Amino acid sequence: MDAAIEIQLIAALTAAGCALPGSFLLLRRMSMASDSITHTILLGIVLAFFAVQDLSSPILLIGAAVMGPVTVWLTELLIKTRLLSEDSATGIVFPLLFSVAVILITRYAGSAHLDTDSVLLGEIVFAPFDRLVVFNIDIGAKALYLSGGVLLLNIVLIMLFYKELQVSSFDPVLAAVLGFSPTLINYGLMTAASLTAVSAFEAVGSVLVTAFMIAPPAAAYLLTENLKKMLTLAVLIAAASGILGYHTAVLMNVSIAGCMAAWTGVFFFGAFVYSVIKKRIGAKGGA
Amino acid sequence: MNLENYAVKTEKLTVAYDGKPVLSDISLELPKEMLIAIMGPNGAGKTTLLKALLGLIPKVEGETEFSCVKGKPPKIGYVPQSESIDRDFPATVLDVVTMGCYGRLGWIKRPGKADRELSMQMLAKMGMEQYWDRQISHLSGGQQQRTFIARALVQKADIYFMDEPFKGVDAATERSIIEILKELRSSGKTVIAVHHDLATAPEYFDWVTMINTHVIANGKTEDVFTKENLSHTYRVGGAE
Repeated sequence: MDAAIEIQLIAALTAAGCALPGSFLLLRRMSMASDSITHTILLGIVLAFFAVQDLSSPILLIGAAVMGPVTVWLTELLIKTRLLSEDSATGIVFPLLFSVAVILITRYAGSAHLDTDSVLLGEIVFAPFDRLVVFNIDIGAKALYLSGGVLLLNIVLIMLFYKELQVSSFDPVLAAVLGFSPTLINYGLMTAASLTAVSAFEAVGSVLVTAFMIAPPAAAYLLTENLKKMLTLAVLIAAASGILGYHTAVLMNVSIAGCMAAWTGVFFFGAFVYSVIKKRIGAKGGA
Repeated sequence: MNLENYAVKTEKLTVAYDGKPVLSDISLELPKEMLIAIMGPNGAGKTTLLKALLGLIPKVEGETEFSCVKGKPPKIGYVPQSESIDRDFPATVLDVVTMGCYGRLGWIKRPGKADRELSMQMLAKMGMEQYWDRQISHLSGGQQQRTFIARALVQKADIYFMDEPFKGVDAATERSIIEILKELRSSGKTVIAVHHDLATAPEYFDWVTMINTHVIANGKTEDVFTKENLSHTYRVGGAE
């Protein structure tokens, strides 16, 4: 497969995978949580790396996936003290864990291939160099399978737990009364979001994962009043941002991940203008 | 045969936020098959009491106990406070009402045709069937409350907990909600509702529980709905 096409596919799959858990984070008014976990999972990766001393080990994914719920747990512990508000608690936990991770990397992993730049910004152009070879046959870039697998996992999880996610996001008290523990669902969602974020690291880096988790769902939220349509639109907008971002970056010779994130912003702005115009027309029609 | 005549009871229930008791030493028996009003001033702990009875918030101490219905723990229906609802959530009226079926379905299983039919039936009962595909933010206060009552009916519960079911609704909706509550009572259900309106309380409810952090009065409306109890409950400043 052509490297350019592979890069676009990886970008589209990664962005689409982020948009799915991101949609539910947005609906639960937990957009900040995506920012938080995309940072703290770095600590999970670093600790797992120290344990196995291998950057390509799948243990790193597990380390990251565990760190998401740990972040939520620590944040909720702080909130429960009632000494500070929810956003302040988030703002205390994630810089702490993140800075520990950064210190550990610069102090002990300097010689390893784990540097802060690649973790923060990612580099999708290099993704096609890392091939998946089975029985001596090159079957494509590893990242292609990783991002595709994570997207598929998110689709399957949402299909299985659609009603649980819906009811616990909309009315957590009813969810609890009906026997669907909102806490359990919350931790599940956070685990899925962490796993998604870490898989997106290589392509777009931790900082921009937040853009893909929140901007496409936010745009979709403004375009429709139907949850299923919102999820579909979020995935499509995310994938389109990935592909358009790649072409824009090549054309202007700038950062691919940056252009992809910029496109999510363009889509959001478009959706925002659309929703304002629609409201105006609706108001006039009603008067 | 179950001879217990309470629906739910609490023993020395205490709930605190920040070390400050919101509910203190609440011992109550709420009877079966009645319309029960929980009354008290703002900050008296009414919503907290509902949530504590439902086991949704941690208690400092005390017990709550539901009496069984046909040998099983009772099924619980729930109507949230109208302003606690995220009206911008992407859900239609039918989506919201169908959530009432989720408890019977359990994990993973999705609502089917029968569940949607039951939901439409309950919407029709509340006079809301023509709005089934409307997004909830486009509803009036009364229509929104009818939707949530329909959802509670879909739950087919034994005990219904309602947090201010008459708040922000029009007169016609209020009448139709009280009709539904009476219907529930005559089919052997219990309704426990937080209620604010002193004027309608004696007309609507059989039983009144007045609280202000602790229990002031608990009994049949004709016995406890007295001037003395009311002034005791709503006393400004809450001395003692």
